Amino acid sequence: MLSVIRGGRVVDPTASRDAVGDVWIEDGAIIDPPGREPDRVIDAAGCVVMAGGVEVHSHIAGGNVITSRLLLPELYVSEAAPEGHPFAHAGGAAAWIGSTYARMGYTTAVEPAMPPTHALGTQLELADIPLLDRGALTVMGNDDQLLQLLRDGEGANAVRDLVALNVATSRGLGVKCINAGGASAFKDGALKLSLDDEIPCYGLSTRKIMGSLLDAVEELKVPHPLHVHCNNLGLPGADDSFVATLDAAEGGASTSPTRSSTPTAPPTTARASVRLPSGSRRPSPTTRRPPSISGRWCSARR
Amino acid sequence: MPAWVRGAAADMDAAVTAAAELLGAARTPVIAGLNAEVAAIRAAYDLAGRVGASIDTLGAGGTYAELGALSRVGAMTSTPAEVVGRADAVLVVGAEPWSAALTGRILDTRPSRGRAAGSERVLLALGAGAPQAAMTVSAEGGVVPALGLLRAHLRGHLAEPGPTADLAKRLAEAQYAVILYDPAEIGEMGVEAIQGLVGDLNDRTRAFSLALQGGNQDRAVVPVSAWTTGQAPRVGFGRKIPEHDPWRFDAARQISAGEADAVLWVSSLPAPRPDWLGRVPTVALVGEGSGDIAEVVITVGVPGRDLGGVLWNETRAALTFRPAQGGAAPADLPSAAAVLGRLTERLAGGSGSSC
Repeated sequence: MLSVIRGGRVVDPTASRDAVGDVWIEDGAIIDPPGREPDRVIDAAGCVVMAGGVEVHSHIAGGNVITSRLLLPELYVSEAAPEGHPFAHAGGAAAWIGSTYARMGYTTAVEPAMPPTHALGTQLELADIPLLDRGALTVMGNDDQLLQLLRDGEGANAVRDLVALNVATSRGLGVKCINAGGASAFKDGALKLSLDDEIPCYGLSTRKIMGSLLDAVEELKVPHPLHVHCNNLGLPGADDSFVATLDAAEGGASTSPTRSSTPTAPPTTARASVRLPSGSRRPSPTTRRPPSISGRWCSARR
Repeated sequence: MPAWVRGAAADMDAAVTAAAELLGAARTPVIAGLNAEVAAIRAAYDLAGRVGASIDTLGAGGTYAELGALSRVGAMTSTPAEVVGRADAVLVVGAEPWSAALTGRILDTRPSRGRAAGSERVLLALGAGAPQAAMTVSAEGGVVPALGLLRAHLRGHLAEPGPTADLAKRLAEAQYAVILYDPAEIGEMGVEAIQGLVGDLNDRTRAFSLALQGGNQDRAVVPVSAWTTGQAPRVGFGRKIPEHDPWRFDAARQISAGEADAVLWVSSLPAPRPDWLGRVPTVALVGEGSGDIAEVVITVGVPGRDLGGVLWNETRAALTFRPAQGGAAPADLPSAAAVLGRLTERLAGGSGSSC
């Protein structure tokens, strides 16, 4: 099957191409103009033709997203679009998320917070998002089982095996830790937990949990680097925690004012990118594969 | 397979045809119950979206008590496993929780994780006494005013000694306090009062709420509804777009007001049938039933018994897969989702959602 996407503005930074032109496709691969008649012509006049966007951090499914819909029942508007995908006209619905991303030029989106205990529901919800390739990051770092292994000194192999089990059974693309140990500390009375604060009842620190997850993800060669959600977000002084976390992860830090989640970077080369105060020390050269780091506000359920 | 049309045994094709005719003739059909596995709930939404039906659920009373409070004041919730593992004080509000299996587990265990590990667990009662409770505070004026008095004591607005003051003190001194309740029993104001109390307690210690599920699958319907329509259930598709309206799409109200002219009752799990069922032409897809409960009755497989299915698992506080029980499966029972899919094909000419 020979297809041509005709007359669009073709943008391909890898080939320094940005001009109106045609793109020829045969059997799923882009080819040079073959000098034959196409079986199929797609008219792209007035459109941008580009590689599909990859959104590596977008809350598109799971408990957080469900709760957000229930918290704000008035947020979304549903509009009639009878020819669209089923429920694509239902504001906030999975089908609406898929069709909206597709309209923006995305072909992949990754839900970054899937607790293993809720993996089945999250995966069923992801399966109802049309048009996109989807994935999810398995959340670890506050579960009692992991903290218990670390407290009891069960060793790196035990942690590795637990990570492998969680990623495999939840069908994760990678691992995320959110305020590692912070949720556990909250349950035992803490309101703030910096990188080296002791986590009540476990005698651990965020640094230790995060380091053990980094090592496990490295050893298992999980396709996505460990995604780190920093501690104390929303509290004064959290930027210290960001810098210390980057140092601890031996990851690359940038002083550029960009946010995390560069959508076009393939996950395996994602660099940590958080906004740091000017004059911040650049961490030492990396030995581990750097984690991706987000500075997003973790919603407290109040 | 057991199916009936107007009381007479029928084969599957005849029953589906009769069901499609009955529903196809309706102008304002209602799909109700949804005490079923996720695949059936999803198929019911697909059918409703295509034929313009509205949807109501078996546990809507409790569900709305929770959702109304959630959207106004939020919630701090725990799970059964966390309560069993961590709670050193559990305040039981109302009478219903005392007969719940979970309360028995809470009574039989002691905190084993977190800062309360190793300490005793005390059960406290508000509104209904029980022999297992270490103390009981009555609520003659209702649970909501009693919760208000409790909050006033906690905040220091009231200082009069007495049972309420003692209860406030015990909760504030707990390391991991839990308020256990049945939302269907205490209603929306009760849930909101509990969330306020939990918020106040967290200024001093840690406290969380835990709502009982009730004998229904609303906890499965709510997420499926949210990701399918962007909204909680009680939704109508009469104007082709999903409209979320807890009052308008209350099936009991629609029936008594004469607004609905057909009902599709979906309950692959056992459920009490509401008294309004059968007042208008009705199709019933049920795990267990007889030919006299509706014009058209189709027996479907019971999830977790005859066939595998994803259900809300109260113990794990999550959607989990329940396999069929080995050996017990009557091979010819269709799933509710399969029957709903056939109805969708007949009524909407499509093969169901292609999501």
